[in-house]
Amino acid sequence: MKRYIFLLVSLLLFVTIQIVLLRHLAIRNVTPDLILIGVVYFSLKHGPTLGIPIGFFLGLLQDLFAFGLFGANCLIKTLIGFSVGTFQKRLVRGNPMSQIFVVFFACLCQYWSMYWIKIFFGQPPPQVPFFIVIFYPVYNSLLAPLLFWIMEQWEKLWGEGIYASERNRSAI
Amino acid sequence: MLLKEKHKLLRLLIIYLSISLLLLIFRTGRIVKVGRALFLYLLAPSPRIVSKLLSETGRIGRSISQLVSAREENKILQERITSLLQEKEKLQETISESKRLKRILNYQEETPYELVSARVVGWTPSLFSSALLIDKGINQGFEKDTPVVAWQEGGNPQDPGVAPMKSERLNGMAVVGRISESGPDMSKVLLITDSNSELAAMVQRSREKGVIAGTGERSLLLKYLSPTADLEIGDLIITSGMGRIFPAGLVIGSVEEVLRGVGGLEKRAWVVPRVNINQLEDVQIIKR
Repeated sequence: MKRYIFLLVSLLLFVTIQIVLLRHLAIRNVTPDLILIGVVYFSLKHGPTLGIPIGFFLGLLQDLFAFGLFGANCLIKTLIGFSVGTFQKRLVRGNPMSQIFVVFFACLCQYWSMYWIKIFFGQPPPQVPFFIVIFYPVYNSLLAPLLFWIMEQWEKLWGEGIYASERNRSAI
Repeated sequence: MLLKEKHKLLRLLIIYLSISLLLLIFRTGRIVKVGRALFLYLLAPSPRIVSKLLSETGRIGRSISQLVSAREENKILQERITSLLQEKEKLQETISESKRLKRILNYQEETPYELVSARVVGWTPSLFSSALLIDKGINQGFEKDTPVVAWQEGGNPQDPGVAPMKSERLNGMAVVGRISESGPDMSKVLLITDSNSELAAMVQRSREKGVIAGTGERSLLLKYLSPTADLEIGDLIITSGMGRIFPAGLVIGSVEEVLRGVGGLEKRAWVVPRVNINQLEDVQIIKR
């Protein structure tokens, strides 16, 4: 139960921080993408079983507050949650370099997936300036180790027991 | 990974992907729309909470900076200085706010439109759209395509080179965007800088008409002007009223650079918006 409360609070917190506060850290209109980094964090740390639903619900919340194709962020973030979670064991989770690397590619994947989904659904493709296409993954990947550390501390605040049931099931 | 686990994972992925695809396909359907409105209503951070959070963040930020700068001072002096500084800040804020509100009030008396103030409660969380969330919605009588403006003072701080010279001309009410989606007590405002935004505009001095489009960046692009259009750097660009969303005569921004269009068939220009969107705290909605 505690685990679900933790996840629910985390999702709402991420989205609220993204909407209300992160705009103040924008550089040339590029805002840190806490929602995407959150999906990568949970997928990298807990694997695809948690990465998929976290990606879906964070994407859904993002779609609710953003413009454009409703459901597109759900789809993209579910796939990112699955992909990062699947490669989780091949990456050194605590290593800042692998965090930077994964977030960088997740940002690129998100941009290009959105581009092609928009075209597929007959919408004009996003007209994002080239500088932003490059700067967006760079900025987010550089912030990733710090945000990962903060998320780790946030998770520790809730105690180690929140994933105990999952571990017990795996052990069985 | 065991085969059973793999199957379980695949099932999970297929379920979530199917729901996502269904949402995408039926995004304009009634059920999805009602669901969206309901969830938005339930999840929208209440303006009060957001305002409190913002002021709290500002207070924490100020406290940290004060702590760093006053590290070597003794405790009594630090307390006195801190309280005096906070009082001064509060006073300055009150003075500037009252000045701004007075000007808005004067403008409101002169303007033919009825303006209603709304507080900015957030920004949409997407790289692909520039939009604001405001604390007014259907309950206050604001629906899709309602124009939103804001008061800008002392030029555009995004462009410090232009501000000192033309600050006088850059003072006043300016276009921010239009409401693109309304909830009961909250609306999304599509900003003029968004790449999906286009509105009918004209050059105030020469009355040349064109379309101003957002680029997703700081500047706007004025396009579809005739190749012989009379256009100079610094010219004010205003709404032409042709799109029927914005009333005519509202200031959008000023020309920063004049360009030749593709093949010389049209003239284009980069326009700096009068309003500094990143610093918006409240906006005015034009009531129809």
